[in-house]
Amino acid sequence: MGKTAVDDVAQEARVSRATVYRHFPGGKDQLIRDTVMWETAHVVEQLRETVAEAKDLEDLLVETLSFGHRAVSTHEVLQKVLETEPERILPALLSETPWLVELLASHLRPAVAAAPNRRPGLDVEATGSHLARLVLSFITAPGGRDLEDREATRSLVRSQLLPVVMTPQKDGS
Amino acid sequence: MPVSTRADGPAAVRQAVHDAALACISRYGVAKTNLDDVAAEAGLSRAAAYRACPGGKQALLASVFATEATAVLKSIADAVAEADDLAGGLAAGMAAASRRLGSIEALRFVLRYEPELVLPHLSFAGLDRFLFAASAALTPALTRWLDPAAARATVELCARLFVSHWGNPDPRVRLSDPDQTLRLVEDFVLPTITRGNTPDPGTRGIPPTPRPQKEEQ
Repeated sequence: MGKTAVDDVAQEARVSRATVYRHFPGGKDQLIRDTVMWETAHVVEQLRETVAEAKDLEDLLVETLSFGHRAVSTHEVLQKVLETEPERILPALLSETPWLVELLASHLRPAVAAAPNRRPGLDVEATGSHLARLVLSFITAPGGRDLEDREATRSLVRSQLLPVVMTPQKDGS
Repeated sequence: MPVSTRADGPAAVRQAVHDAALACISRYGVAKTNLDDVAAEAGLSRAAAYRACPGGKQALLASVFATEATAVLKSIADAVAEADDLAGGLAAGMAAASRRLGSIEALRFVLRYEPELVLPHLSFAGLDRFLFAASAALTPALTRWLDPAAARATVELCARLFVSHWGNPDPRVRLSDPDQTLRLVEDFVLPTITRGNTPDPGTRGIPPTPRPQKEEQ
């Protein structure tokens, strides 16, 4: 990314340098910020479609973690930049965190509210935010877990995420 | 603060250099701090400062970082050790971490003006490394109450929550306030703690791959 200049972007897009600057008066920094924003929004849109079928909170969390992990780990540009020059992209990427958390939380809250065996006094609003924070945390840094493995992901959801919503079930499942 | 005598031993010189480096960073940032500034701030000759920092600026920065990180971890472990129960220990540990980190002026400057230096250590592979280091350092503090697997899982969860709230604050959860961290712990950490059965398989014993060293820009 350090070597990609506004000139290269203009050439790749077959427009003039002046045109690029007309649309991105902030130059390269703005190009990076806007690109990160678009890519994030695009991934979120795909996530929305992917998890539409989830039947309960557990499924929704498993699907969200699996999809999110795949989206991050297979994003070639993101991976390349994270490996070679993370400092260039992370300020822009992490500035997306607050709305990403809020958006994820707003997807999770209806399923939290509908969950069976809810813990007494559960705060749906705060719990949705909490789960969204952890989902983002696990997607970006799985801590050695294999989120490509459905069963490992389900086990993570059951041990770290669901217990804050539901009281343990007697049959131990 | 300049050290008055030049006859100090190596440990004192080193301490003076560390303090001076932090003072310089809190004023000019990491990029603009050089060893000459640090020497002047420490009241040392250039030669003495360079002798005290044989690895140059990068090694000094790494050493200052390691020293500060160790101090933060110790403040957490001390706070946990003073607590009467697990929930209180976790809450006190998080609040202590927040207060200790908040007291480092150099860190405040860097977060504000040079965040690109910190963020790689708190996200993606850097967050994995951070979580591993935090788990290794702080798990023993919880074995008063938990078996090692549960202790490690609990440290990891608390560290994830801490980083998340530190980077993206929620006005309802002030990390420096032990009452608010206690609520966070009671609502969102204690329910996940399984004592002795089915620990989350993810908390692993192998360290993540080290980050490739980069040339100074």
